[in-house]
Amino acid sequence: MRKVIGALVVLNLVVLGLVGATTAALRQRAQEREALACRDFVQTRVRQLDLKPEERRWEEIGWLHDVDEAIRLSRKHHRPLLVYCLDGHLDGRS
Amino acid sequence: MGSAGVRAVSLCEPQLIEKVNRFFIPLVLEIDHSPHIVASSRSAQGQQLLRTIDDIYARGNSLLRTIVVTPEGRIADLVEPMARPLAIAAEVDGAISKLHLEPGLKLTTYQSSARRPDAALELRVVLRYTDPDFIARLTEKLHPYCGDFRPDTTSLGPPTRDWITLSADGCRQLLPPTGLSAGDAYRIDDDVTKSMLVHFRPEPALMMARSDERARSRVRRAQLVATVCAGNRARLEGELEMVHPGLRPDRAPEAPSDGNVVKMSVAGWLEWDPASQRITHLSLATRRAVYCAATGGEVHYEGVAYVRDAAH
Repeated sequence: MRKVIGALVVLNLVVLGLVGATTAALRQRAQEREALACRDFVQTRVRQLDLKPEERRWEEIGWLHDVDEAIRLSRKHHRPLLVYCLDGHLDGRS
Repeated sequence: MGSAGVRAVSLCEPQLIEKVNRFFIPLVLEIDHSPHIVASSRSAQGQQLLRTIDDIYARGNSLLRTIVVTPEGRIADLVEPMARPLAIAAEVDGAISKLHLEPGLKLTTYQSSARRPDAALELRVVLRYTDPDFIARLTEKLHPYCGDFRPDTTSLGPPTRDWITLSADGCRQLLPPTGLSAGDAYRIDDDVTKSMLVHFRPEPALMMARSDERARSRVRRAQLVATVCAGNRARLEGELEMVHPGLRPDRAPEAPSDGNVVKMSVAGWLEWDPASQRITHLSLATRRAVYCAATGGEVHYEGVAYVRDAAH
């Protein structure tokens, strides 16, 4: 009888252990799914909302930042300066 | 100021770009409200030019101008595109004609100004409006100021661009405290959260932006919670509630807020290298962003922020 009770206790512990391990694994998988869903959402939105090539065309202008260099090139190539003055930065930096 | 990026849309016409690159030496002066631009030149002619520009700014309050200067240093033309958005193209054509210019070699492309010296990480921010009615109303109201702004484009107008700059310390604050494992959550430092989420604000009236607009925004609530995932990654979920006086051109900026509130939820993704404790990926995206919901002038918008080098 003792042996039977002992075996049942061991069996219960094994079952409890398995249930616990399974629950932990399921929880971990659920967390991973949630994480990947979040990552996919963010990456998709970045792709969708990122600047389009036609919105970055102004970068094709060969803007100079150095006044003296611009004046030197203006004289050398006899081209006028087109000075674009703005508060902030062309690329949106504050 | 992100609006500077918005303004750059007037420079996106291919014909204008071709003319600027072949007939001119384009110089951008990113003035940043600096009263000391003269000091940025070492030459007499450069200082003379900057002094002239300084004087022009001292007389007026416009923050955006284009100026044509001949190789001899004479100012040939000056326009205020803020008042006349299409004027740049006209100015370029006028200068080509008046100065009898011949096309020369095409210039190479723009090199972005250097990142801030204290920046450990920079995230490009792009915001877009999703409310065509709002865009139409705004265009009608601001027609004199944004005549080249077309509400019928698929992107609903030009996107707003801005940059989030994080210092090395700010980056560290984003990483999980030691001892956390997968599934554990931690709250990002509130100051770091504010410094990032405040950039997700709708722009004021496109070309009428004020450089101190971010400073005038008051954050009521900002939180960002990170949940650690396996493999040195974390997902982010956050919220922002912020009084934001911009985007209401009919309202004096100093007037007390009557519901000009940004309410936004955001998701994000963070990855880092455990050995160096450096962030290798960071991106944020709005789940829902609404402005002025309480006043009936509700504006929906959406936005993302990401580390540019990692995304390209």
